[in-house]
Amino acid sequence: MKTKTVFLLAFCFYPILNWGQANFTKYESMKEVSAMVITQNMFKLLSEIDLDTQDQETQAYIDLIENLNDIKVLTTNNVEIGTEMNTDFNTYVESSQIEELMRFKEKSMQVKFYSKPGSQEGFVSELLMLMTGQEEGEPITVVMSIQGDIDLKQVSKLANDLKVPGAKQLKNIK
Amino acid sequence: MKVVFQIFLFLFLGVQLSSCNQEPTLQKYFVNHQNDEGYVMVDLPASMFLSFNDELASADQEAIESVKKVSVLAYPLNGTNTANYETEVAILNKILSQEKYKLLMKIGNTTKGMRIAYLGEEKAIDEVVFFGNDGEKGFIVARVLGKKMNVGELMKLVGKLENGDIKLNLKQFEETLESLDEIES
Repeated sequence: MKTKTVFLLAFCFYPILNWGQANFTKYESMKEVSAMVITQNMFKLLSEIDLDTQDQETQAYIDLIENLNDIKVLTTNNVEIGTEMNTDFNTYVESSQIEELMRFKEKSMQVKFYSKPGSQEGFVSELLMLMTGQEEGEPITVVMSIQGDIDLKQVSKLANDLKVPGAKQLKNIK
Repeated sequence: MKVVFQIFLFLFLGVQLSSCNQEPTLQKYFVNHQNDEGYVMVDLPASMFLSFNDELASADQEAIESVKKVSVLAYPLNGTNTANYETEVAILNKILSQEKYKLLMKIGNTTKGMRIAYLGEEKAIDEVVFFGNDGEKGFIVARVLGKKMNVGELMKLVGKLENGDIKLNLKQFEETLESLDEIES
């Protein structure tokens, strides 16, 4: 009987426990949202490839990629969906142990970065970005989430390669 | 009690098995549509552009042989088939959303985008699927079929190709592409 109750309780609370994960999945299938998702499967496959290099900088970059879990970038020009994303983002930030890393304003864009402490100094386990503002006269909202064992020094390079907005500013975090 | 349990188990298994059989697969989709009007289907056996070479190390030989063929199905839009295009894209999206298709990456939105997924295990891939759709042009599904393909080994091959250790037999491949161009125009 006791085990049953525990199971039942666990089952009931499962959705709440699951809240901790930023859940932006619903936006991926929306018509007005452009999504870029790279999954853990991809990074696992990439780590299969032997990319031995003498160059230390390249090696550090490879190490970063091999330790990533997933990358998600969602972009929308729709104001309503943008507002919803904003709300979801803030709810997530409040509900989880995530710290503000930096924020800045550039031209008509407001950018916020959040991160979760990682395995060691200079590493984070999650990097979140919210960007809102105007781009070429159109309203734009961008949410980016990167999970894994992330070396902050390397991640700006990756963000740059993926043409993620805010990549330049990421370079300044040390 | 035990009997009831056994019946349940039996029913459960029965449902599982029958649902497995009805599961839509890309293979079925290809077979069902390859002769339909509006579809373009191309099969390229790997042997066509990867020539076998006795001088190769057996690991490389194995890597080459793990790739069987590339199969492409395309549905170009011609101005009158938009409604059908939308239905088919929805069906394909549903097929590819199944868990067994391990998503590697996707980019874009519902009107224009692409996704890459694979079937099999990390070190032994059976199929790589590319699906791209564009609300103005149409959609294309490309499948790289093989048996226990290993990305690491295949990438090593690519490296050797670049070094010129292995020759890629592209002549036939180009000819096929040319004849495809002719069909389209």
